Formats: sequence, structure tokens, C-alpha cells
Amino acid sequence: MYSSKLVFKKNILKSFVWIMIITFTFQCANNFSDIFPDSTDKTGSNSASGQAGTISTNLQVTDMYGNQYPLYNDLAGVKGSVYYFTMWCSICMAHSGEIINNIKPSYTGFNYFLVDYVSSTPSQTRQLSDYFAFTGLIGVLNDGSGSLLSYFHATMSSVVVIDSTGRIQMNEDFKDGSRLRSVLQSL
Amino acid sequence: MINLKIIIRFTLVIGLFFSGSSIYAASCCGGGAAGALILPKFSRVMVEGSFQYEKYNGFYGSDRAYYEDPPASDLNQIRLKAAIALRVSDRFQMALSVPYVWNKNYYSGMNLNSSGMGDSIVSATYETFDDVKCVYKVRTLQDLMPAIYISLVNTIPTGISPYSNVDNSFKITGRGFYQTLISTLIDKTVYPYNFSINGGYGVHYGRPVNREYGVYKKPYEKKLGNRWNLGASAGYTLFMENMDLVTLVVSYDYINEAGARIDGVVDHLADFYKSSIGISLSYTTSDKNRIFKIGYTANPSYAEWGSNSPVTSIISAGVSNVFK
Repeated sequence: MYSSKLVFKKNILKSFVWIMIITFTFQCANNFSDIFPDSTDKTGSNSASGQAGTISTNLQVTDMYGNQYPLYNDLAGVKGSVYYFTMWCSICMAHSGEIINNIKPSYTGFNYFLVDYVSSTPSQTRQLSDYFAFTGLIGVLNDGSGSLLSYFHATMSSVVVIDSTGRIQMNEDFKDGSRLRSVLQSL
Repeated sequence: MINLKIIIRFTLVIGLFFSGSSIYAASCCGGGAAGALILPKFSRVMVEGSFQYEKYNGFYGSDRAYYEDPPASDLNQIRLKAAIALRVSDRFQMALSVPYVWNKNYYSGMNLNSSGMGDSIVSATYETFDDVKCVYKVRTLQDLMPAIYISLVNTIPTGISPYSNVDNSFKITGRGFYQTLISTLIDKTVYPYNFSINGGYGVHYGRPVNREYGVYKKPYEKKLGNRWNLGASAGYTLFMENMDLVTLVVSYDYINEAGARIDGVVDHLADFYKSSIGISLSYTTSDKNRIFKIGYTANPSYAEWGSNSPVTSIISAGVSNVFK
């Protein structure tokens, strides 16, 4: 009886170890790009729309009051427009605060917008803008349809800069904001 | 014909993979108190299954204020972990933990669900003692000596990160960076009381990034900030008539991570800290071969308890089985 218990325990243990090894190996193989990160510049192979260096489509945008207008309206009479994609999370708040308090006053002649892509209606976007006290400090757009998100392949903390000619000058993660500063400086 | 008892036992152990908890280890005495996967003294192997359900309840802003999540949003993550600890020598042990993660999010009428492997953990632990440090009565100064564990905990980026081939942030299950954490656990049990303190300092390794959320970008170098943590716990153990143990533990933990470095420049917008408080209940069989544990940990929804980080609550459950 004692030996059969021991054999049973050993078999269970062996099975567990094999499951762990197989799962771990599968994980490593499945996520090769993080296990062995690549430093090669592959931007030339992007097929995604709305990337830096291309001319933006004149998309329809909706502000938090429900007004709809062509995106190019934001470019008239200014050096360009900055769109920051927010889902109202902690890091989004830190970035939004940096844009409002430091970048916007330092780089004038641009329009600045937060793009709320998680609220389905403009009224929800306005509620959130009021709750976080952004109303009046920066333009706030509602992207409930996901058209901006989809076109720019954006997500949480993506920032897009479009110059006055409609050319996309930047489309990447906000990171520490230094890249946004240098792009705005160059325009 | 297979013995019914064997089937029940097999079911119990298989259940360990699919319903267990991660957190819980055993102390050197074989009880359940510590915060990392640690094999009890004089045991050869321990396997552990763990389940965690984490619910997001808003966040701490960089102004340290507490903010609620947007209305009509519901963010949750479920983690299932399998872990094993092996004794390498009298004082050395190693462990591997492999998680699977489900993200279950609801935002403005949309269900955003995804799943994938999480980041794995490989650890090596050195025990500074040769005998069990749990005592029933303090008779000499020697009886006050705690069990001290020093661990090297390595995170392997096997999860789905923002730099994997993934199209949005709701699908993330890992951070994408290797990390090494040096951690110490000091644990003392004078039955029926248990006290422990733990601390750690972790370093992330830099990596090149050439892709964000599935789209290639101009490559840059990124290194997450160093992190440190401190924690303390206190527990009380109740002896059952059959000498099984029931232990109640309350704990406090603090974690702080500095801002990431991007091309060598520190991103102070990314640094964060937060505190959490927890309570757990464990049941240890009298032979100390099996430990069942449930727990609840939460970041308080009040200002000053954190900065720049999500506020969450975690319900966990798990089973550990020790092979001597």
C-alpha cells in the first residue's frame, strides 16, 4: 500500500513537472519578440494606415458636445494638431496633465485634443472631462465609433501629430513626451 | 479496477492546477504564511496551483488622489498559475511559476475579452538556517532566531506585452521586460503567533523596442525603473483536535517603482507607488503536506495610498502539496 502511494505521488509529480516544462517552453516560443527583442527598424514594412510620414485622411471627428466636423478643420490657421488617446487611466491622466500644464503652454500655435475612445457617446465623454476637470483646458473628442482609433491604429497613450498640410508627423506612444516636444519644435 | 480513493486523490491534485492559488507558500514549519513560493525545510518538492481574480476599482492619480474609473466600465483580470519548488540542497531551493491570464473588460457597452500566457517567474532561494525555526515556547535566546530566506526572483517576459504582436492595451498580460529581484523574508513562529517581514529590490533589464501595439516604430531603447517593496504580516494559528492547523494572517505591503528610462532619459511620468492590505486564511493538514488557502488583498480607495497606479482588489485561492 505504501509503495503504491509513493508511485502514485511520483507519477503526479512527474506529470506536473512535464506540464510546467511544456507550458514554459510554449510561452517562450510563442512570445519570441519579448524573449529576444529586436532593434531593427522595420517601419518600412508597415501596412497600417495613419502612420508617420503619410497624409492623413480627412476623417469625421466628434467633439464632446456632439458637434461633427472634418478633421482638417482642426488644421486651419494653426501649425498642426495634437491628438492624445485616453482611456482615463492613471498613466493617461499623467500624460494629459503633462500636455495641458507643460507642453501646451510651451508650444503654442497648435490645437491640442484628448481623444476618448472608451465612451460610446459624447455626453459620457463630457461627464468624464468634467469629472477630471479637463473641460476648458483642452479640446476633448469622442471616438465612440472607433474611426480615429482604427485609422491611426492607436491605443492607450498613443499620440498623433498632424501638421497644417495634413501630413502625419508622429504616431507613437507618448512615453516621456520628449519625442512630442521635438516634433512640435520642428514644425 | 482503479481504486476510488486514488481517483479522489488524483482529482484533488489535478484541482491544484486549475483552482489553486499562487501566493502561498509554506513557512519553514510547513504552515502557510509567507508571500513567495517557498518549500518547507526537509521537503523535496512542492507543487502549487493558484487562482486569482483581480478587479480594478479606479486609480491613484499622480497627485495621489483617488479617482473612480469611468462609469459603465468594468475591468477584471483572472490568473491561473501552476508553480513548482524543488530542493536542490539542504539550504538551496528553486521554483518556477507559469501563469495563464484572462482579461475580462467591459467598456461603454463593449466586451473586450482576451487571454494568454503571463510573465513567468524563476527563483532561487537560500535558507540561512538548518533547523526548523518554529517553536512552541521560548526557552533560550536561540529560540528567538527567525527563519531567513534570501531569494533571487527572475521574471521572464513570456506574457503578451505592448511590444508583442497585439493591437490594443486590453490584451496585455505581461510587461515585456526581464527583471531580477533580490528579496529577503524573515519569518518567526512562536505558536500560535507568526510574524514576518519581507523586502526586495528589483532591477529591470533594458531592451530595444521597435514595435508598439502591432505597428513598427522607429527603434528606441527602454528600461523600466528599479523597484523596491516592503511588507509585514502577523498571523495566529489555531490547532484543531486532529492537529490540522488553521492560520489567519493579516498583511501590509508597499511597492515603489521608479520611472522608466527611454534612450537613457528618465520618464518621471511613469514612476508609481502603492500600498495594499490583505487578509488570508490557510488550512494545513497535520502531516503538513497539503495547504489550502484563500485570501483577499486590496488597495484602499483613498488618497495618499498610492500614486500613478490602478486601485485593485484581489481574491485568491490555492492549494499546495508538499512531497517529503
